[in-house]
Amino acid sequence: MAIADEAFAPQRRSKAQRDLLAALAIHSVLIAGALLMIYPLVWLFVSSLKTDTEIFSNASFWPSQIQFQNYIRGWQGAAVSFGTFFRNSLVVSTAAVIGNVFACSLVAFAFARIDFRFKPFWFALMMGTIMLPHHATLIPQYILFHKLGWVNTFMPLIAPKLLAVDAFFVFLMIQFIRGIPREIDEAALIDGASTFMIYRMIIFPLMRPALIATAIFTFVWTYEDFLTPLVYLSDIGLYTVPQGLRLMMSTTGQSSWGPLLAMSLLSLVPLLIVFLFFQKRLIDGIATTGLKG
Amino acid sequence: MNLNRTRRQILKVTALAALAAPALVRAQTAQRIRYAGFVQSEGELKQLLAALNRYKAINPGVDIVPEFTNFSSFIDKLATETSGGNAPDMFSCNVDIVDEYARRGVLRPLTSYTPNPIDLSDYVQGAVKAATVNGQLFAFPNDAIGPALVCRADSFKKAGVAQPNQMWTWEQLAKISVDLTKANGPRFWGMEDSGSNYIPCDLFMRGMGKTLFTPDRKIGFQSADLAEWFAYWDRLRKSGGVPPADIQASVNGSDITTFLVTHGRAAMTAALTDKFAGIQTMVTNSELFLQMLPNGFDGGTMKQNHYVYAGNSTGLSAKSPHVDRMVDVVRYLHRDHEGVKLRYLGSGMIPCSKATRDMLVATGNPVDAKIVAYIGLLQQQEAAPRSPGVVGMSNMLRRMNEAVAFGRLKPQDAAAQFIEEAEKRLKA
Amino acid sequence: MSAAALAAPARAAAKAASGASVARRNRDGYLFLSPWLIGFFCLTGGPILASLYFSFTDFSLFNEPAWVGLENYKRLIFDDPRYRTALGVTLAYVVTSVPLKLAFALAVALLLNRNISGVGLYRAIYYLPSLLGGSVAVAVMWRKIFAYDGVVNDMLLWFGIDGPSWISNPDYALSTIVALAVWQFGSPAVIFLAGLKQIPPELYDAADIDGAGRFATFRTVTLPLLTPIIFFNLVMQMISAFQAFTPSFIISNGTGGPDDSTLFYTLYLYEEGFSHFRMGYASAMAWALVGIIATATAFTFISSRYWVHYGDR
Repeated sequence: MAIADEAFAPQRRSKAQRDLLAALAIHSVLIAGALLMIYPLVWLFVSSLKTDTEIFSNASFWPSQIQFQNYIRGWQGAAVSFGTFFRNSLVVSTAAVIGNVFACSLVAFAFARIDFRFKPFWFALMMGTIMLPHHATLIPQYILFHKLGWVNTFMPLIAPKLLAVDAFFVFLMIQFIRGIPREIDEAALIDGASTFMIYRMIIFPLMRPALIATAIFTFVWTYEDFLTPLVYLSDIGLYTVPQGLRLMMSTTGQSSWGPLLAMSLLSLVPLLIVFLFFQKRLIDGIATTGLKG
Repeated sequence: MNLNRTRRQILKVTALAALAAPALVRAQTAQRIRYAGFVQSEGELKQLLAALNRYKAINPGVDIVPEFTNFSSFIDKLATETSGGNAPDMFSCNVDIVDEYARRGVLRPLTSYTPNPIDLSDYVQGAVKAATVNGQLFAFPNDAIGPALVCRADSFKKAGVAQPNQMWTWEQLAKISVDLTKANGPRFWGMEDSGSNYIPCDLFMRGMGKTLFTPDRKIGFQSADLAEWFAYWDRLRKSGGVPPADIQASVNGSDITTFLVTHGRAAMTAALTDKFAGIQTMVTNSELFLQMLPNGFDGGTMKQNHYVYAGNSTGLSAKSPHVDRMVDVVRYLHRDHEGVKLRYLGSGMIPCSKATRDMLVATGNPVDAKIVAYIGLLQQQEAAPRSPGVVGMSNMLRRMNEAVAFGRLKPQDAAAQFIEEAEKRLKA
Repeated sequence: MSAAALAAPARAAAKAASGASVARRNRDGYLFLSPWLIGFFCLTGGPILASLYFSFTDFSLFNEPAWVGLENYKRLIFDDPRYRTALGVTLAYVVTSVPLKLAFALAVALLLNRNISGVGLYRAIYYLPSLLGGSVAVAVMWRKIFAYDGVVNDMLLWFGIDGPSWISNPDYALSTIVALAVWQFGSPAVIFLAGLKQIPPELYDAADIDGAGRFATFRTVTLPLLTPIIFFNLVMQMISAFQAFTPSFIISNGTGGPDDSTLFYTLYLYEEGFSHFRMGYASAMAWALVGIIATATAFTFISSRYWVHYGDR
């Protein structure tokens, strides 16, 4: 026994040491990478403290004098307060998240789990819709939404999401559902569960990582979308954050660079909050729901 | 008694009318006008909105919905809205938009609204001509701009080079550029390569007695002339007067934040005067001055070739019903003392009318005063207006100049290709 | 093994049960599909057909479109050297950016799937570049980093190297855009992470009991179960790379320069349609792209039979 203990002890210590070394290695790799990733944020922050002119004329990384004037000027805006743009963006993005999560999961369930007639045809058609560059449909789409009376409302930004128009997320969810063993829902089917119950009680909870990814991307991409709001929203009071930012940027004249960079940085805050909120749930994901049910 | 009853009745009727009045006004006299456009800066937007709000306040029943954004976003949005049958009632135009949209029937002819209520007689006539298509006025010019060299005084001083005569030659420009490069040290060039810019190119052609495009939409030069243009810049590139191709390519067209002059890496750049104030704001360590581009060649005839026109005009949609009202909005912004003050003074925009320009100079901004003086200089001998060429012309010229700069095409081949592409577009 | 053996009769029973009600499956299928069907028939289908129609016309945004037959397509194939340039640039971008981005995303996802302290913060930081998207601020910053007098060249100067102007030299501009794309690897990485989270921990326990090493576990458990997600990311990154549009705004303000070296397919399409008012031609270009993407996607789908493993089979 004693011999065995002695024989094992150094090995155990070296395993602990190896673990520590491995952790150190991983952290140093991650931190080095993180610096590369975080550089733009630092640059944005430092630059947002400079004056309009200093951003371009001063070669130095640091501002000659720290001032938060850009944040005040940026928030006040030329026509309406930047808070209005934030509110509009949050309304649109939240509605889009709700729409995409529910509508796309229903459609994905149909494609992944139900054998209905002409399924391959509909699937190919759906995939086809994302292959067409959306600039090609911009004009006819505008005519349609104009006839529906949706121009200068949030409808063109939200309605498509409620109708699972974004095939990206449908396909994403299909791939996740197909990773779930079919035995589970077949067992439920034998127990007499309806198709909707299988979707609601089994598939929907089990595809949670996909739903969270969908929520994150839908929020971020809707929030950042520039072209759709540009075309459909005319009233400055309805503008979203990217449009608000463009108001400060003149391609030909004098841009308000300081406020622009300050508000660019501020506009990341909701995105970061959403990401941190959802990614936490990404970890909980399968661990809590489990596959046992 | 009788009187009392009548009075009571009157009161009742008045009360009812007062209650119904807002609804009635909205139903019968409310005019909702969508006013879309581009602005050069946030400050200009602020002032324009203030002027429009004031107009609404003194004209009850008129509702002006402002739809403003920056230039590149605006042209895409305008194209989509117009194509979708939902063009704004009134909108900003530049020379190219006036030409395209007037020929396609989107803009309303406006000649009948001049000189009454809008008198254009003291406006820059080049601007009025540029807004005129087939003899009809299609937009009211808001500002006055002209081509210029924007120059850094400090670089000239350092090189001991005096400001050139306004009537100078392209050969002199080349020489000065090389001198400035030599005197100002490494990573610095006398002149930015303007081979991609069609306005200096047009002036170059005019120096030879020709023009880039003729008023009847034809090409106004020979292939050899354009080849000489590309070769001119190629020679300057090799002698160090202008930066190498890859450094010049980092300048993005009209974006002044990318200009080498802005960063103190070049002494001169060709630009329109509406960029002058913006560049000066960013250049804190030197004064800038405006100088004409060359007006001819050694041994040739010298002639003032710089035209003044409008970078921003207001056009009215042919389909909008509120014509008189919209013309009145323009009158308020251009001609009304209060409107002019709200719209122009301090906005950085140089008004198209002489009277308003004088008012601007009187308020005492030295940068504005420099631009007004330069515009005045160009006005002393008026040049023929610029003829709109073809859509996408600036990008075409840029591509060809870059192909020469990066050594992919010879000047002759670049010129031939430009002509071939331009002719295809002229036919369309 | 035993699980499959147990499942077999259940599957047979389910087949029998479902086979008995084809009508029910059809009804359920179309009910679940209905949001997309309504969306397609009411919102997206019409404009898609309209653009197909425009591609056979001389539509200029403002005129009544007149039928020109295959004219636009003919011009595309035989008479437009810039179209060929755009196609070449785009193909080069797809072939380089997609594999690099996916490899990077997978590596980072594996790293961030571990139980290490502060992993949530790391994830957020690594997702940051993707949050910045194509915003104006990124364009300004990217130019400041890669300009001839930018940060990168300042660092190269320490080693005595006088670097080129990365963003405005035709030899390097596209590579710089690829670097930007790879840097914004966050979205596929999050999807990989979600995929890794979906792998049942029981399977890792089983591999552990079998005494499989870390690499063997990755090869026999993680990788096969992740193939549906790898497949998804591959298809989607490919489609979006073919449609890349914003990156070139960051480098060239949307001109496709320098010397057309960043002239992406959709950028040229947009220029023709909206700046040159040739919407008919632009539509033809759009539908030609559908053909190209569909072919590439079809090949990927066919290949997936040999390397993608689904849990439902």
